[in-house]
Amino acid sequence: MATRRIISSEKTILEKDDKHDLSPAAGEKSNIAPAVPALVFLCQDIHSHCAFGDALAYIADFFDVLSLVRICEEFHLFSASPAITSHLTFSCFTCSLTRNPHRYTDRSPFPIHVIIKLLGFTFAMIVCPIGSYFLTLNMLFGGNSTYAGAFAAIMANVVLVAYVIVAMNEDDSEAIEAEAKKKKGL
Amino acid sequence: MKDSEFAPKFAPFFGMAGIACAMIFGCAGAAYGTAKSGIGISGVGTFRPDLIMKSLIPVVMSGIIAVYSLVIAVLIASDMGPPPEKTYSLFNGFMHLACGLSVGLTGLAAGYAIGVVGDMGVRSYMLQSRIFVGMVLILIFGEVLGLYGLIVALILNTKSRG
Repeated sequence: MATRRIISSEKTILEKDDKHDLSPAAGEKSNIAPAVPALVFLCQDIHSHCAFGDALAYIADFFDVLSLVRICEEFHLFSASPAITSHLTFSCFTCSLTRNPHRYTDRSPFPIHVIIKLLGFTFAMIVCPIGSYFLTLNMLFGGNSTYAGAFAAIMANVVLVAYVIVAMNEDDSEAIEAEAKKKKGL
Repeated sequence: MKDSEFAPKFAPFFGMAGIACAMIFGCAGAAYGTAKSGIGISGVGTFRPDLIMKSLIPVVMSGIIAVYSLVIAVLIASDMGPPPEKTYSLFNGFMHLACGLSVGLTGLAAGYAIGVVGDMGVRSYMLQSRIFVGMVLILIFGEVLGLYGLIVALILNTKSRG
């Protein structure tokens, strides 16, 4: 049996109607334009009908502040009436912050307490075993390097157990928060 | 210097080989475990970033494999010295080689096991959270293989002063 040639341009009857323009061809840039325009029309609509502040607060509540600022720039709202806009933007900020206090604090990809924990465990993993070996070699075990080595291995496992406990607690707290949020939503 | 029958000139070679074996094989195992489970963690992290902290356990365990090797290497190195002050018998040389090989090669085995289990276990944990306890248990049993090597090496090492 002759082996079949595989050429990417050839299409079987099954693939003939497949759409292939979803991802850009090699060398072309992918379309990264934000999906804001639809939102802008929405904004225009609301803006023409009801009060300014309500519209902005509405948008800020459903989207984030960055897209709000982008919309404001789109419509040259800042240059048109800076005093009013700044006041309204501020009220939007405060209202969405009070409604969703976690949204802005959770925006950073690495919360600071996670970084501190990871750095602490990295430091402990480097320093604890080998440091405890040299500390206890002459102070505790009187030069018996076997006991000191065993103690160092135990210290490494203590760091591991501490890490497992911290990791479990961390994820539990997040799960509890998520449950609380769900309950609030319901 | 007279070449003693029990402490020939080439005896330290075996002790040095023991140190090198401990570090090289142990760190090779730890590197494999870290890299293989790191692949799985990166795969999980794109979908469930909240699981990263728990998924890092195989990486910490691989680090411990390297610590075992490090402890044995330091232990052997503290028993060695340049010839005029310290006589180093051939028995000690072979014994240190056995120490290094046992901790190094069990570390390689444990690191391999941790890598494979860590990769697949973390991916499964993303889909089914109840697998976590089983995954940690399997990882501990994998890591205990390296601990056995460490224990044997520590016991062997006590024979140097007898």
